[in-house]
Amino acid sequence: MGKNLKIFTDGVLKNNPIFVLVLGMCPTLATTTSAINGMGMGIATLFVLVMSNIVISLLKNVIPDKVRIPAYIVVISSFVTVVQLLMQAYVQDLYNTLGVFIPLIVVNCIILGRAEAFASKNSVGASALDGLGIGLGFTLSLTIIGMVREILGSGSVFGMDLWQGDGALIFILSPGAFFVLGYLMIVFRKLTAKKN
Amino acid sequence: MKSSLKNMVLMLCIIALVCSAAVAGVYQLTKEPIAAAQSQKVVDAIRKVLPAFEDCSERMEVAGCGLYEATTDGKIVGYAVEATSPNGFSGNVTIMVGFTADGTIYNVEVLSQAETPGLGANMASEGNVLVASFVGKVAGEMNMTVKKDGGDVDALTAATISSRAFSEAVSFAYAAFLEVSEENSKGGVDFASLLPAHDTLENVESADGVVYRAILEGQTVGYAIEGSSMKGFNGLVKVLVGFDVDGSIINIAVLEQNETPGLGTKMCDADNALIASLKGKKASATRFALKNEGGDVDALTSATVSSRAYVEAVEAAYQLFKKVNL
Amino acid sequence: METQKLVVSPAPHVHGSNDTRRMMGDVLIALMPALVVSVLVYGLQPLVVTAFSVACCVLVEWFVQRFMLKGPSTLGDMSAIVTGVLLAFNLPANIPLGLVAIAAVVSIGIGKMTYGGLGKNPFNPALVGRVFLLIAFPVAMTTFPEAAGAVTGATPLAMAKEALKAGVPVSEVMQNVDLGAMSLGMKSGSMGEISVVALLIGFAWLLFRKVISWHIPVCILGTMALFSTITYVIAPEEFMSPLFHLLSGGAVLGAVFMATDYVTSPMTKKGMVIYAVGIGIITMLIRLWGPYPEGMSFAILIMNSVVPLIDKYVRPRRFGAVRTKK
Repeated sequence: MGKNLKIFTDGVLKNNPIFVLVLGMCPTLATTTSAINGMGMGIATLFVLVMSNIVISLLKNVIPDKVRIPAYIVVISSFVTVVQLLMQAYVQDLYNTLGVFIPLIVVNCIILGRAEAFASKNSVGASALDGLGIGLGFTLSLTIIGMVREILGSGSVFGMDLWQGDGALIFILSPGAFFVLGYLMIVFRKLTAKKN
Repeated sequence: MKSSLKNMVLMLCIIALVCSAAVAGVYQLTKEPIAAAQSQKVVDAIRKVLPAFEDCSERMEVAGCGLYEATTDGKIVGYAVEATSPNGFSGNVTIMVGFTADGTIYNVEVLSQAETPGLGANMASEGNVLVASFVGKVAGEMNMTVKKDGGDVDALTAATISSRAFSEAVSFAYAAFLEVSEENSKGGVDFASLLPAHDTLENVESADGVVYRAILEGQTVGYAIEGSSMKGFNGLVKVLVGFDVDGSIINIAVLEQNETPGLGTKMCDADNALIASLKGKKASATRFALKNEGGDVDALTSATVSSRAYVEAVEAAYQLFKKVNL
Repeated sequence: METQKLVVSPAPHVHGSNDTRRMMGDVLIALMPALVVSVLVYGLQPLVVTAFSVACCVLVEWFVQRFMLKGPSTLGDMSAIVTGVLLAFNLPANIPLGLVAIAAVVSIGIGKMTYGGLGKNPFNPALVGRVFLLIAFPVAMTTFPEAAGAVTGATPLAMAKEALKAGVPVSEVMQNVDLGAMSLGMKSGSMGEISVVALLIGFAWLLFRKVISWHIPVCILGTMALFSTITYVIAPEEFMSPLFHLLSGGAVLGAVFMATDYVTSPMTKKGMVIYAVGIGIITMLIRLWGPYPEGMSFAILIMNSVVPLIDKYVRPRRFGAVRTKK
């Protein structure tokens, strides 16, 4: 049990995909203009990550080594298409806001990275936990970045206004994404460094 | 598993097959919800830009815009027009404009835009000056350019280009609205306002033009006659003139015109200077020319050419009346 | 930190009285004429903004150094004061003081201390603050008090860009422009950039005191002049004249005071020329075809980022070393 818990918490803290591994920067910078957008992107990725980890872990013994990457990609892209269709059907506004970044989950290196580095070598249960941990780490990071950007940039959190009028526009635009990511990374390192 | 050719081909095929089957399944399941969500979005937008209505037509392509006709009990409440300007600060600006049947802009809703957040993107925020400068205005009476360019539209602060694109999209929508509302009025001329009370309306076959004869209990009581002129500011002006049997002009309806919005288009208004100076007059005693050209007709302000064409069209109808009313 | 008293460097060792403090003092003196003109044109507001900006910058630097970097105070080198003054010079005179405080935090906090303090920052701190505000609060940063009265106005560059985009020929635009008044400071713009004459007096002082060499300012302005001459000769009715470009916006302020910052400009004369030409070209590209009317601050920041590369490839020859053939 302790081992499983560690797999899970490692994904959130020690191997946090954003603040530690610095993976998947493209959706991170592009979609975190508000807390809800960041969270939507995070959850979509979380779903794909968990499902693809499970399936790839199940198939790890039957996939010939030389064609494993194409096989993984096919599996991942199927799940991305499924997510895309589901979002289009039930959360269309969010789907329209995130736009091209939903199909681009296919090329998010976190997912292929976890498939190759973890799911192809571990049991189904452990892979699912790893996907959940990393996915949650990704979702939390994106939500936090989105929240900070939304508070500073539009003066609201999850669409609720904190004060009248606009914030500093730059935080909604791309330079603000870099600023917030950089300084949050400092804070994250500082906080986790103390624990170890 | 061993990476033999057979294994590799087999496994990839199986994975691809299973995956595509799964995707196809999900596609079937979500097909209807997606379509419903999409049309719901359009209907929501239409409801926002028009007064309450019951039914909404399918999308019609008019003048490069998507047009929806909203009706209650078969009567037209208004038109919602989806129009796009490609000249936004960062690409397309797509809006939905609601026109009531008389050409008043009821509301405008931004459907999609990628303008700068905090500046141009404010066009989508509630109660902004840009939308406010359109809402409630009669489209034909306003100049749809920003104040900086000499128009009537308040631009968003520090977002002139976005405001221009928005205004342009509204003017596209208005062009589509005009096209449709004109077509409709052609088919649905209100003969009651043109002719005396009658029970039958007969389309008289005539080589010279279109003539309708109004009949009450077997007696001819008046004629509605089409007349046209090619000398409008932008070509054809076509009118339908109602005469009683004595040759008095009862009323005039404009069937077709392409005049300048806000100037020449005033000829379509119910009570304009042209109609006022012709209505109720005996055609035989009327000099069909503008007042400053020796006639009896008051011209529309700043639209002399359009007025001249109008008068010429009415006169053409009168010439035809003389032929048919023997 | 005591070890820093012993500086080890290659021969020859020459003692001079030059230190950061003296140079910064000279820069401050050189900035005074521009401040005087700003006060004459805009009233007391520029003094308030400048004093507030300096106070904020000094406070932020002290705070970060004391509580976050935990090093000895660096206020003595006066660089925070210079940054404060330059930052204020890059803002409109009517800017809310709250925004000045934000800009000071960004300039010193993000632009300088995050990298470890003076000497380690790749970007000019004052410009980081200005550009941050420009993107974050575009409305406040682009409404200037008009030179003569209290009405807000557009800068000559913004006005010209807007007009040229709308298709107004240059000759017509120039009717509203008085180049003589512009060079003295009678135009709207950031408070420190308005008077070219005052800035050139400061430039002369810096040259006289050998604080900066002529290379960077002259090459930037020369490149801009050449660039705009070419476009002006090709299409005189579509592009503003070279003189207009040199006298407007932040051309002189940027070239003399912002681009010459020791820390963020190349070390060698050859490097300086490359750097300055780059700034000139990028500035003109943004001015003529970019979304912003003025590109000087962006151009300097972009070239700041290239400085390490320039220094790497354009190395100074070691003293006494003989050029060897490869």
